Amino acid sequence: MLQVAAVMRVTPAYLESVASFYDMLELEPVGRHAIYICTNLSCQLRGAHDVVEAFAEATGSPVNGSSPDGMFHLRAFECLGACDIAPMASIEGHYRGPLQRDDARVVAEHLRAGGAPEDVLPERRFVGDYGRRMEQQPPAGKPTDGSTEGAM
Amino acid sequence: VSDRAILFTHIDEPGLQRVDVYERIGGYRGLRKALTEMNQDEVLKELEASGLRGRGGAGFSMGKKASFLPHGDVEKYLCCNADESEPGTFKDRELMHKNPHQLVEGVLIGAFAAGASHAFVYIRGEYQQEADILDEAVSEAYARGYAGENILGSGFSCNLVVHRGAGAYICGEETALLDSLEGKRGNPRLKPPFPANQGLYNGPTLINNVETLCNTSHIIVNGADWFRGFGTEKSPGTKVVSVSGNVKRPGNYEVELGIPAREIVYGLAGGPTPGRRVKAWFPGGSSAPVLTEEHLDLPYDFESMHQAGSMLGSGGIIVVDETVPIVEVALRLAEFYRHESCGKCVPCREGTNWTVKMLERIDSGEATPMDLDVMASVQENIIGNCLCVLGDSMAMPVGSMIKHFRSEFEQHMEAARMRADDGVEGGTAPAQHPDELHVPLPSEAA
Repeated sequence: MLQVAAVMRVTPAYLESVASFYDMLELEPVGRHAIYICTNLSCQLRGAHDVVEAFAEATGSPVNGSSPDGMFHLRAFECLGACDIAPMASIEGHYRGPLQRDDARVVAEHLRAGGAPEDVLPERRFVGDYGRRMEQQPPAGKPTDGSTEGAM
Repeated sequence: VSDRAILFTHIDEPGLQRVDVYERIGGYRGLRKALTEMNQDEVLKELEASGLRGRGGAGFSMGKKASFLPHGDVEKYLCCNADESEPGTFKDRELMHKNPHQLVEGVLIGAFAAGASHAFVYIRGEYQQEADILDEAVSEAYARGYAGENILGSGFSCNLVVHRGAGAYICGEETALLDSLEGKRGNPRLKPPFPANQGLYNGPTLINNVETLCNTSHIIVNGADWFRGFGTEKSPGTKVVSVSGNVKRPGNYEVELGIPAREIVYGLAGGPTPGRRVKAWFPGGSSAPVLTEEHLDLPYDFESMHQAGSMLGSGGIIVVDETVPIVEVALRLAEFYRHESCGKCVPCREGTNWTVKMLERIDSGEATPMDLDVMASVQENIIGNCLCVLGDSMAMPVGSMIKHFRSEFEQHMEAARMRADDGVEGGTAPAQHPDELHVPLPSEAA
């Protein structure tokens, strides 16, 4: 911190006031793989607390701390802006959801084995897509272009 | 709904993130028209005539806001607010993720209207994928001559930078966003001076939400009258609503303003699990006062939500079904706002903290009925007494929950007290409020 402050030509106190303000800036070394689990209202309504518990178990990391082996950094995070795939988590910046308890083990094993975070779990973004497509289906009785059937 | 969409018309076009595909569906025609066929005043007039209202929460007229910026030869800025940190809101994420060029074009049209030579997109740090996508789109726009020096040969120059935040709800507040962009703590500023006069680096600054700016290219291409053909007279256009919580199909839906809320919650999002009823719903993100089932038949627009005592806000609808205790909802929200309060103003910093403590007391059986009144008055004393509306954002929903669900709070409190009393062993009885000391404990009465 002192070194950074010296390079930036600000006082250490000022630097800390800025750095400590932001949730994503860490002031101490943390586990290698950052897992943020959203625990805000929409995720909570769909079972975020179970997911947090499962991740703590699977990674061996305390919530809002790092695992003793330095592999994982687990955070119960405020809204991550992905309530459509609630309950969800950001695995090193890659959004995954809706999650179930078992997914925690899959993620932990994948990362422990050195897998890339973007390859873990299928990407199910924007659940609303499916809702929209259902709405867009032509109403019964309206003739449709048969050639588009099965194209999706 | 689908054939009356503006922003989502081509959203599922394969490869839309690439500039070629975006151009093929008519992209950058709005920017070209604005820069080569219109002047700044005409663009401003068109935006004002369209009646486009800010989609970030406040609902202020976008054209009017842009016209507040002083004319003349000063360095002006445009900031696109892509912080989207309001719980229950995720529309901007989808708009940026799937159609980044629509935003880039909108930002540049907005910058032209405001006469800004520098434009920033402030995106929340958690949206790493979306920031990468935007970065890519911006460099494509530069390569095609849509951004940078002398855009499309019009003589107008504008630099566009995507700036990533680092995780702070308050940075979605416009002046906190500016401080954060300048590299400081994201503390809100005292207004006035408003950002239109003195914003980023003390220069006049226009700040708009992602969705607002995305609309501009469509208005320029098709005209203000076309835009007014959507929605209601006072709330023209469409709105991307994010529906989440206890519904079958959470997601983003673009609707015309003014359709019944029930159609969104039940028709589009599928409503709660069969057999359960809607207990409460937030019409505009977690900061909006909650409404109840009877309000579902109101038209979903700025005026009706306001009249019902709530607000359209960011368009994030959170549905809470009847199985969820309302105290739990209130506590979760209060904890969130306590965490995110920047601490600059006392009513917000202390108010959020004490609200959490009082709600915890209710949940653990240590509260007295008086606590509800104290809590309600704390909420009233936060509203309007801070530099920004973060404190209000907790006070309004929590206050409305006490108003609509007072009996449930009382039952919850009573049930928790009974539980606590049952668990009493050897004098660990919950502390009594001094005003209540003369009341015999239930155990003594028995």
